[in-house]
Amino acid sequence: MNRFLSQKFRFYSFIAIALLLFVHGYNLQVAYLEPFSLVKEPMTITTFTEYFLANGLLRFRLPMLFIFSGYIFAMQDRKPFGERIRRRFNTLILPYFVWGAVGLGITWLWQQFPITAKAVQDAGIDQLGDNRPYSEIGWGGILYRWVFAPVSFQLWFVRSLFIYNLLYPVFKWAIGRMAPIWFGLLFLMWVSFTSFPLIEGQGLFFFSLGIWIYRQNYPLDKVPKWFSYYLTWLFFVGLVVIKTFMAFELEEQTTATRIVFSVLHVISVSAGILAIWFSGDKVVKWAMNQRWFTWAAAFAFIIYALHIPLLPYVTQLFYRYGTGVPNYRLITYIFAPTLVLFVCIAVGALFRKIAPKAYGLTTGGRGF
Amino acid sequence: MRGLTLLLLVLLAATAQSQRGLAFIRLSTDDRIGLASNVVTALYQDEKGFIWTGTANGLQRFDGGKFIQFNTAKEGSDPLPDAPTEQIVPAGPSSLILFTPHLREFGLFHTRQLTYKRIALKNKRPIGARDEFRLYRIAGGKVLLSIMGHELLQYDSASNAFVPYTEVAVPAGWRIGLGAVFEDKLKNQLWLGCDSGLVVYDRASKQTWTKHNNPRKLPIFANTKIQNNITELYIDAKRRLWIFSWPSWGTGGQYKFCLDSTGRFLDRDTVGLNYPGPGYSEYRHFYETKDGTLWVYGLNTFISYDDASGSFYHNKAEEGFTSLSVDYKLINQIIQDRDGSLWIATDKGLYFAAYGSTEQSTNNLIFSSSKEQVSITDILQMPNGDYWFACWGAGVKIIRPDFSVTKSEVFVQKPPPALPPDAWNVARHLWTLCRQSSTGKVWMGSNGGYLSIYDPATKQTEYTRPPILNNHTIRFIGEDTKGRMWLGTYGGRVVKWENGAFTLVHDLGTVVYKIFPDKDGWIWVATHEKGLYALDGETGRILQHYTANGKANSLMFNSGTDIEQLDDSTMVFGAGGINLINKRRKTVRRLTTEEGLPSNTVMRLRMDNNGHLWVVTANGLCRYNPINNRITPYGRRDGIVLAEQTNATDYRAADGSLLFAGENSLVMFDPNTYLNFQPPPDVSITDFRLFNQYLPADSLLNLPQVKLQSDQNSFSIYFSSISFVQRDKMTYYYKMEGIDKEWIQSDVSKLVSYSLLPPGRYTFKVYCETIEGIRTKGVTQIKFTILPPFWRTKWFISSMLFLIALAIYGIHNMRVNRLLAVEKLRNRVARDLHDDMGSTLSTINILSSMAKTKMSTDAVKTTEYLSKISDNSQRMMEAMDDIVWSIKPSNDSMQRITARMREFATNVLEAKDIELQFSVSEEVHDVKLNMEARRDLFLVFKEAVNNAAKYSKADQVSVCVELHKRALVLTVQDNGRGFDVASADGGNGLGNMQKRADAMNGRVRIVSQPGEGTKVTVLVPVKH
Repeated sequence: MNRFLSQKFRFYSFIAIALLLFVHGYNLQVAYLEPFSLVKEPMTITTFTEYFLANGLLRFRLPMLFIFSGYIFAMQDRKPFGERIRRRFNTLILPYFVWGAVGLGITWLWQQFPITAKAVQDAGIDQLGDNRPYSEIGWGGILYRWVFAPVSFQLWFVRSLFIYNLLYPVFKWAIGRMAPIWFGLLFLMWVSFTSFPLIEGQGLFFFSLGIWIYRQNYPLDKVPKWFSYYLTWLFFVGLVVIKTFMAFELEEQTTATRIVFSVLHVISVSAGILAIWFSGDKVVKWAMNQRWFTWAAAFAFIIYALHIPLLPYVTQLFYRYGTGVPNYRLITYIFAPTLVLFVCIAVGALFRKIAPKAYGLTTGGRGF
Repeated sequence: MRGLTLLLLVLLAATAQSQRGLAFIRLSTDDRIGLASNVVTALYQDEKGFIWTGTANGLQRFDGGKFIQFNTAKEGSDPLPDAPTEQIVPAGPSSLILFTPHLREFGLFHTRQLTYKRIALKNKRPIGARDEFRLYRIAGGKVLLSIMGHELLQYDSASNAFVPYTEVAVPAGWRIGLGAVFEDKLKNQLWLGCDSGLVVYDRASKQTWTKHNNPRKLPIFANTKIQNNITELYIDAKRRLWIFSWPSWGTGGQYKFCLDSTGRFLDRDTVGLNYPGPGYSEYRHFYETKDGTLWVYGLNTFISYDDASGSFYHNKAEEGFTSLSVDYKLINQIIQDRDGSLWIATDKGLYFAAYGSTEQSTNNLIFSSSKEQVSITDILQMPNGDYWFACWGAGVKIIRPDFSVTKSEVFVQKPPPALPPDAWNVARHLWTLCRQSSTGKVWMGSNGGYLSIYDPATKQTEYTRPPILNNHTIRFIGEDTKGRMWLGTYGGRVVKWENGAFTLVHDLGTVVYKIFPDKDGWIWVATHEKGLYALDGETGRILQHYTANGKANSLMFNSGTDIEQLDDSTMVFGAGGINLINKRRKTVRRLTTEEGLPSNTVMRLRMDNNGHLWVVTANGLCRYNPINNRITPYGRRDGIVLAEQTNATDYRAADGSLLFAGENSLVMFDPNTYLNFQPPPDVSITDFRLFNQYLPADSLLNLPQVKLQSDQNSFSIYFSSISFVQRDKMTYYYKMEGIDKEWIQSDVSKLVSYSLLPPGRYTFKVYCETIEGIRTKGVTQIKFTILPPFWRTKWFISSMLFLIALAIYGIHNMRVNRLLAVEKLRNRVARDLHDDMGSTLSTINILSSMAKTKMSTDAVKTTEYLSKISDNSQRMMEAMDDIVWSIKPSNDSMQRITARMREFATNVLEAKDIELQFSVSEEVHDVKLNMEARRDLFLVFKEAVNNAAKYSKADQVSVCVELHKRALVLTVQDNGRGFDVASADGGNGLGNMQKRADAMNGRVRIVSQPGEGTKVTVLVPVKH
């Protein structure tokens, strides 16, 4: 991997994680946005913007992160598998438990004061749907949450990544022996939202794609001849606009609408990945030459690990004190994630300065 | 008995009596409000307030304005029976169990989904042809089915069936009476009346008690009289046990017992229970209203227990009451709605009676016309509470506050002989009563100018005939604030009595209907055809005079019968409509039917203590609230049934009650009864009409939003607060969010129509408020979405824009490609000219220079040079020919290519005397090659043929062009000397061939061995 490609990976990893806050910060009435979710509320600038971003434009992030992960894991093919898994355990599973506990701790802390406790209650982000105070839930429930259903629900990504890493030999074999069939199956899993227990189906295709790209020695840093800026951006933005309008205007969730949404989702995400990856070289070069940016980008993992449960709770506080202010929903959508982003970076910087060893341990050595 | 009552009074002293009953309103098929049959069999009020009605023609729903018949013709639903629905019992939220006896069918009807499913009977014993059924709803929402003489079943919602009820074990062989299932909620017991005795199941101890097993020693089981053939039983709120039974054998009437908890018979409480009915009767059911009144009803039976008199009252049609009482043969059901009103299902229609919550709040009194004619002309209440009624031709009639009639002693004493002989008779033609506050004496004005003054203290009547009255009828007597008495006569005189002397104040020359002294001491005089006068009480001077002169601030009519004072400055004059006169500003404002007055013939006016003006018009009673300027009519729904007849006089009693009276009738009510400070029920959407088709509003309300297609944009919404008493007195406000910015007050139709609404999302909101301004707790709303046609949706428009952008890109791309192609062609031609022509011309140039220098010295060389020049120019011409040929569009087809190949090969090989075999397969002609490929193919061919001609020494060359597996295959084969391909240096010729084949994405294969000829094969992939 050349230096620029490495910079590009770091740049887009940080951007993808920073944008994650604006995905998790949406405040539409639909509690969980799927690619084919319809919106049952009037279309306003706020609702349109939130859906357009959270369920459209920013959908390229996860696939891109999985491609990076597959690519990077495949790069280390020469190292013994056992050693790699041990390392991955330290960099993925250990942070999973640490930051899962931190999320529980933050929630418990917020539950100690009436106003913040109300914010926790109203946010309702408990994965098991039981948003009672932890003092009522008890240690058994807390332990179960810590291991299987952390309140920091975004940690599923690192857990899945570890599972993917464990399954790497299978992926490698399948890609080497039966690539078309393998990718066909994984593509169907992606499109149809098929998953298995502990094996997240949404990332398999892209993780495998990352492996394949590396093994093919594909020149990721060169813009291919067939690439068209115009077409990829047109498909990326245009289809997301169409899909967003459809989400507001189509009245019923039918098989036909699911198929149409899935097609738009697949094309727009694919176009988005290409458009974002191949269009931003100048920005990447400029940003990675800025000290403040590289400094902030180092805290990508802290932002990722800490923003939930903070963001939903802060959003509820914005609601509490902002209701009545014109366009308070839009204001909340813009400023709550931004605030949490800065808080996370500040916490990361402080943590790294005060306890660098612990910082390294809990972030899997990222950000030095 | 509490509530709105109807009294029949006979004022004749000898037969003075009164009879009291409810005033009923009948709803029938004649009313054209949709009642399917006058045989009404069952009633139930749901949680929204709708009255579900079982009729002989099936189930209906009444919203206070109309009955709606439902059909259940939809998938998964059984047909709702058209046959009589005998019972309606709630089975759960929004679900009713219906019993259709003619079909022996039970079914579950969902009031929201409007579906109906038959309920199976899983009884143990077969049901006989004469068996009868009765449904009961007991604690926990359970529904029991009693099959007469058989068993009890319980509704099981999971299996949608009636299954055996196992909680109570009735002794073997005992048969439960049809109407003899009662749940004692107080003691949590279930009482069952059987043919062999009483059964009590005690849920707390889970024991079943009978006369054979009586561990608690209940006295009732010791009573042998009531143990057999119990058919009906009931325990009322006073813990009285009512048991009805039939004799086992032979004929005989129904036994009716009333016992207390000790088993003692309460004979005193059964007074009137065995009333002499019109024929055969059956006491079938009990009903207790919220106030504790017990009703018993059935065949020829409709009785209620009156606590006041301690006896049962038989509700039956009386002479003169027929339009206000219940006409029935069979009373099927009684229910009390949430307003407290009674609904009676009979075989002759559905009856409704307002059933107030205040003790005797409203009384309608009818004076029996069969005994006497009573024309009440004035009312007066004496300090002891007695009401005195001036009766024209009958003197004074007195009714006590308890509505008992008492004898009047007013005209007992005869007039003095000095008066004419008919004086006593004429004086009893009374028009007016007025109690003089200073003396307590009652002044009475009569026909012929007779003024009788009765002194209650001495019970003496003084008869006078003041000459100043000119023997004219005294129409009205009033007392002003200074104790002066004012008299108005039929002849038009206004006379003042002060300090024992009469003074003629004015002779207006027309009938004086009323004299009203106001709070300022002004005397207001209502006249016939001369308008309204205001006189100075001291001087008698006319201060103001209002007439109907058609100008500003004029009255509606000149004749008016009543005057009231609304506030310090506003007088009310009933002349036509209501004339509100501001005496300070001398302005008149009218209230007429346009403002909601029931009629423009106002007859009586009376203020109540709440500041409301009550008005009797030709179309009934109404109330005017000056604060919100709202006029509210009151009629039979409110218990006011005689208002149109009470047009002669009015009075406000000491307790604030208002009395209006007239010919044979009197209405008396407490105005506070009609003050309601409870919020009305939330408004219900009763109907939804899309164009001209009614859609079930209930199922629409179940939807999170009503979705309508773009062409379904005209509809009407009907709404109503389901309060049958207040229904017409509420003001509704609605707003369609998306269109309306403000709330809009609805008209009386309670419907709002929208036409051609543009696509969008709308929310219809409606609420109402009572006449006191109390709003509903909630705002009822229904969301609509009118879908746009797909071509007007934003997703479609954005898709079109996307496609346009794509098309623009495509067009732009084509243009760029074309420019690139032209550029490429130019480059190639330039390159070819440079490569092929440029070098050759340079050679020619050099050769010609050399030839020129050698021309004079070396002819041989010069000739050689010229020969070379000739060759080069020949080659250049050929090259030029090739370039031009390849560019020329007409040479695009394979036919032209192969023809040129053949021509070239023939020319070259013939010159060398080599035989040519040239073959082209047919399918080759369909192959399309672009210009470059065409040229490359030709040049490869040319090279191959030239090589064969020049170096092979062959005498035969064969050329074959054919298609093989989507590839164009060109083979040039000679039978010449051949060469070793491996050791060949390649040379320019072979290298060029390879290069050109690569340019075509093809390949060249040369097969040759010394002495075995050479075979050149070119494969070019092609699209067919």
